[in-house]
Amino acid sequence: MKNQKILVDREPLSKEFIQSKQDFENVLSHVKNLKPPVWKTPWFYGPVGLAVVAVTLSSVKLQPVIAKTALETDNQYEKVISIENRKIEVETIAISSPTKLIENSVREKKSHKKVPTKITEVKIENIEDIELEKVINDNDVVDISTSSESKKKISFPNINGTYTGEVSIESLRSPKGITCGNVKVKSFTIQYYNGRKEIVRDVQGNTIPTDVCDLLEKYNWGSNLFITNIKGVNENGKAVSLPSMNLIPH
Amino acid sequence: MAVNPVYHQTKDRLLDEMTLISSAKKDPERFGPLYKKYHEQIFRYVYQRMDDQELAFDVTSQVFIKALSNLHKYEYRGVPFSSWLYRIAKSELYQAFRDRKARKTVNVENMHVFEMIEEFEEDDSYDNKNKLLLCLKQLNEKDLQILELRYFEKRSYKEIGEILEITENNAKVKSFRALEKLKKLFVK
Repeated sequence: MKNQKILVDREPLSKEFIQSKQDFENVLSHVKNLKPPVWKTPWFYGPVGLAVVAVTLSSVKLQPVIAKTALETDNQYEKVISIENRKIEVETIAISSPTKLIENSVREKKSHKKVPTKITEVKIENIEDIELEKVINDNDVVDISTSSESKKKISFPNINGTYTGEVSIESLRSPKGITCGNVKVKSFTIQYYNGRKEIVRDVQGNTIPTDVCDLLEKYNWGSNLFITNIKGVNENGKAVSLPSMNLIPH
Repeated sequence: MAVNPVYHQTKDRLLDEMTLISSAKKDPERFGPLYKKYHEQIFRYVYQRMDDQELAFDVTSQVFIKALSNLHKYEYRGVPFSSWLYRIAKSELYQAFRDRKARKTVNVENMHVFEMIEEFEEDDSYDNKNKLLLCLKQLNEKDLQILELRYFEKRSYKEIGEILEITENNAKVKSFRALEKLKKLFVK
């Protein structure tokens, strides 16, 4: 305690002297003259109360309008999405995970970005269960009728259930090959690296040739493998073109 | 050790005091008897820690103004009304030290200093007295406060506990520790 003074034997004050200094009236008048704090006065509650009421009322009034506007906007988006779904044209499937495609598609529509003409993102929730109304390829190999009768439930091409992303070499070597629901895959084009350059090879049938698998195992580990131009025949015997696949052997 | 007769009261007197407080809550003018009863006690507490007499009277008045304006918040907890006044006084004192740049003072009587030296089993010489006063300055605020209450103002542990808002036992322990600290400083 640096800032302190020690007094020894200070002269004590008498009881009478202290009592003579008592002044209760002064204390009482001070208490009576004490003003309450600002936040306890009506002057504070007047403007503040009014402001609170105004804000509450305006928020209550604005809330249905905001909700209505939001609902209308959502409806508009839904309409746009439904129209887009009807006119869907699949040429090349975007390279991204199926579950993210929906979000990307909706986000693009919401942000009014131009969707590339060649790449159309398709909303996919389950690759085993998707309904396409019309599939048109650049080469126009097949023309699927748009009538309701010809609407077929087809699946995306997959290897052991993998449509895009990482796939094991064992799955690529699988004799099942590329499957796609009721569609029997007849041919496809595979693009891979053979250690010297990129090779684009047309393959007949639905299995990846063994020599290609060996090269994939050797040189394409962890890199992109494109399977495009997948052609097949549906249960009615009609030829169909299937979306391309982008796989990463691992 | 002397007992402060104004502070220590029988249950009947405490209940009488409660009646006065209840009526003062309704009508501030009825606070008069309580003011008269405790004014000297509170003033002495304040003046003990201050050098300036006028300022001590001002602070005492301020204590009663605060007490009267906040009387509606007072709750009886089985201890004398003065313990509540002491707490207000403590806070007003700190306020005065801050705002009015008042200097904190420790008032000691020679007799009490020599008593303390005797407790340390040392010679009651003037050299030792000066040494003890220097040692007191080296103590921290809390230790000095409790030594002041116990050894210079001769208050009971119960009273110290009520003023400092601690239990009687805690007051005992704290004052013993503070004395030990002072002894260490003194013997060093």
